[in-house]
Amino acid sequence: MKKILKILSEIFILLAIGAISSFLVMFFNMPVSASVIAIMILFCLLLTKILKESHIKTTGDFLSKNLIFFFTPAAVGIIEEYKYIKDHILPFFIICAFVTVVILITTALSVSILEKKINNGKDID
Amino acid sequence: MEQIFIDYPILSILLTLVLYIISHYIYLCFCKIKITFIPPVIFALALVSSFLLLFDISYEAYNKGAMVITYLAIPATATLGLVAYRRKDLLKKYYPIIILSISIGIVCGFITTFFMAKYMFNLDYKVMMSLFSKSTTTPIAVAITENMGGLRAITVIAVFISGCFGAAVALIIFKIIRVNSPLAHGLALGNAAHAVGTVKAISLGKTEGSMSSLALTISAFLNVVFLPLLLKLFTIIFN
Repeated sequence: MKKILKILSEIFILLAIGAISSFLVMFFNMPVSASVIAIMILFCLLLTKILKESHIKTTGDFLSKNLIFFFTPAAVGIIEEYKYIKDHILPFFIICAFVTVVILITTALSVSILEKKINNGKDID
Repeated sequence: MEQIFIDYPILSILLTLVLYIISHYIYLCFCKIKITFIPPVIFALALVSSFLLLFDISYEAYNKGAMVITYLAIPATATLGLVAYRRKDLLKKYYPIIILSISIGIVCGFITTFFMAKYMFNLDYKVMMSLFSKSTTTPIAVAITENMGGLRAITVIAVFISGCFGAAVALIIFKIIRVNSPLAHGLALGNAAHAVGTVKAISLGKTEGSMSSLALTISAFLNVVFLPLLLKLFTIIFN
């Protein structure tokens, strides 16, 4: 019983954070999405020790491992949009794929070069 | 069949849940035979889409119930804050590196997109505008695109392709450029492949997942700030 109450309270915290972030985005007309604000709110609550890790650990771990479930309907919706661009899919695919690789390489390389500079050549995790 | 889904919207939630669980097991089977590069979202998407096609159910009918899942995506994504918090020591130590390298990634991505779209494929102005924001999560990308005068449908697909492709090839790319640091892996995945990449990073390890969640958040803000500025600069120089 205690465990159920704890999980319910964890779900409540997450729903409240979701509701607050959606409200903030609507009210201040923010250019970023509610989910990014929600990540930030939870992160800041944990940093300022208002929330402890143990307060949302069970549900938090479960949901972060099963995030894909929540994206599935939106991904199915994308298939609907496919018909608008199916004639030009090749250039799109090439650009998206190539640029994604460029971002992967530039980010990873700059991190590893700068990281080594800070650690004087020592490789740490 | 479609009428049942319209009358009982809860069915589409049930359907998504069942197919998600099945897709998870299919993904595990693929992992067993060492095929790990296909992102799990592809399996879930394939199952749900083929079900809808097979029984001739329109997306509108399906989404009547399934939109509840999409609403719940916001509180569910919030848990990435917890994932990021677990390695807050790294953020404290490396925050200049994190911000700098994410910015470098965004700028290089912008420049490549600009030249490929303009000179290699001669894409329409509106189409080109829709491609810049593709490395952020869908809602942000759509907001940026609409702000810059692009087309929503193209952005949504571009975001999806980038996420899946990035998550699929990331490990091979890291091997080729010989980067072994988990910090670099996490940040690159979050910056290039947003949520799909972050799911991949979480499966790699604690540090990777944490850094990827951070990169996802920071890159969202930096993209919102940088993209319009870069676009102005480049249209002045190259027109």
